[in-house]
Amino acid sequence: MRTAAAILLVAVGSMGIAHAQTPVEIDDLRAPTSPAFVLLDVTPASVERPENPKAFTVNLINTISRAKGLPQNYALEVAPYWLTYHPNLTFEQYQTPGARSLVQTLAISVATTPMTPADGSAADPIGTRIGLGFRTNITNGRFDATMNRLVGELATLQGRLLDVGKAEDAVEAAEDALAAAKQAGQPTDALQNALKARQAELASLKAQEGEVETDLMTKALEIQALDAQRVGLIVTLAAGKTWDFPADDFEMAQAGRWGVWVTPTYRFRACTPNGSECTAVVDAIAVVRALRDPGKDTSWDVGGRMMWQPTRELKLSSEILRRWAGASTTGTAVVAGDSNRTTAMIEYQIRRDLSLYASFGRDFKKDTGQKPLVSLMGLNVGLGKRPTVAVPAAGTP
Amino acid sequence: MADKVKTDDTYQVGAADVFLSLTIGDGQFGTSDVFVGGTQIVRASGPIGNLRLGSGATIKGKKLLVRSVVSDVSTMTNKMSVSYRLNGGTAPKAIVAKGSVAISGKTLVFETRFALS
Repeated sequence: MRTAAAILLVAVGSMGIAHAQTPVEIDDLRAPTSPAFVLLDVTPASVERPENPKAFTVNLINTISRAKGLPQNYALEVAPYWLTYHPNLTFEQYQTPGARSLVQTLAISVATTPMTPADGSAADPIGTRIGLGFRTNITNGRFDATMNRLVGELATLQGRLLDVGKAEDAVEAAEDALAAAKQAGQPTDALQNALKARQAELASLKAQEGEVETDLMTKALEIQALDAQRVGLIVTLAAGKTWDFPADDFEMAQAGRWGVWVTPTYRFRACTPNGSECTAVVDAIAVVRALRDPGKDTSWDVGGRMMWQPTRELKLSSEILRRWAGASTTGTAVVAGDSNRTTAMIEYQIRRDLSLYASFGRDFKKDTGQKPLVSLMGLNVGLGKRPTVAVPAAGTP
Repeated sequence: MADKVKTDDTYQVGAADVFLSLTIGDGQFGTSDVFVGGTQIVRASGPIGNLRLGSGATIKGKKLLVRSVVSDVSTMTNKMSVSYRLNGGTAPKAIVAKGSVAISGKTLVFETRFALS
């Protein structure tokens, strides 16, 4: 009965969302990871990501020789800085890169796609379209207090692995001492006992080695995951451009669509002193996007979203998005001319799996000139069971 | 068991004190043990700067062993490197040991031995 009621509430909520849905959201306008793919409007099935200069060169030569000219349906992403080793780049410098962020986060994307005839017929391609783009973080924020705790735990685990090596050295030294004593004809009882003790210690550490390595990997991946939750100011810049090569002839190259994205974000998370728990308190994002298709005006989108969480349960957010220029670049006909969208949202978490929300505002102007009202209220219900781990009784191995 | 990157080298000491500096590179995080003649001098996480190993006379003929456990904590690369700089001997020396993990988040053990002559 309870489940059925929850499903009904979700269904009602979903209907409201569907009614108020718009084709452009703030998140759609964030700087893309691979601008070249976005501008070409392709989602490559496979993307080449060479990790060193040799792999990059071999990949490029193989692709061009296989295609006997311009490769089609090819996608490549490369982070030039990380193609080579950086022995002097410490963990601390990587965490707080300052101006180095520009080069450390620079990623270049290249993609090609076949040009199809203007009438859309499925005839042979009439040439190749190439997209080239880049993305970088001008500033890259920082980690929150969780990092210090994780790094401390990682160091402890690494120390346990070092203890294994140290115990191996001790066994080796004890074996050498015993062999030397035997060779010199000296008494060996004490040395044999010492060797046995070292071997027992090593065996004990070795038995835990697999578990320590698993814990090490878990901890390292937790630290990697913090990369996606950086706090402070992060400013991302991305840009790209496409070119058409009819008949794959370089002399007939035509400039195509271009785009520029700037996405400044700011996040503040309040953490407990030991970093065991962190909560987002302020989360702000601004977006600026300029797109231009050949023969059309530049389309500008500027917007922002601000989220404030004064208590653990209460979340307040507002969003504004302004669009200039005539044609929509999203491929839909909902947005027409200069228009803006303004919404405010309040969300209250009643329980861990139950929250109440309300949204109010004005949507983009439609082709008909209508400015639809966004008015929505609903419940978010988590239907999944919370995972539980059985705690062994005291004394249970 | 974690993969190992083993390096062997020599360092010619003089009469003066010999110092070791170590950097865990490529933005990765590691913890290192330093031994001279089988005796542990230090265990430290991150870089080590100008660690005194002893006077040339006392460490000559011994082995310097530096063992570092390095974990892949970077989302940008699986490459790892440890660079060692020795000075105080007849001439300064710098070497770099390099490796990489095939699976993100894995650990490598770097073992570098210097014969102190």
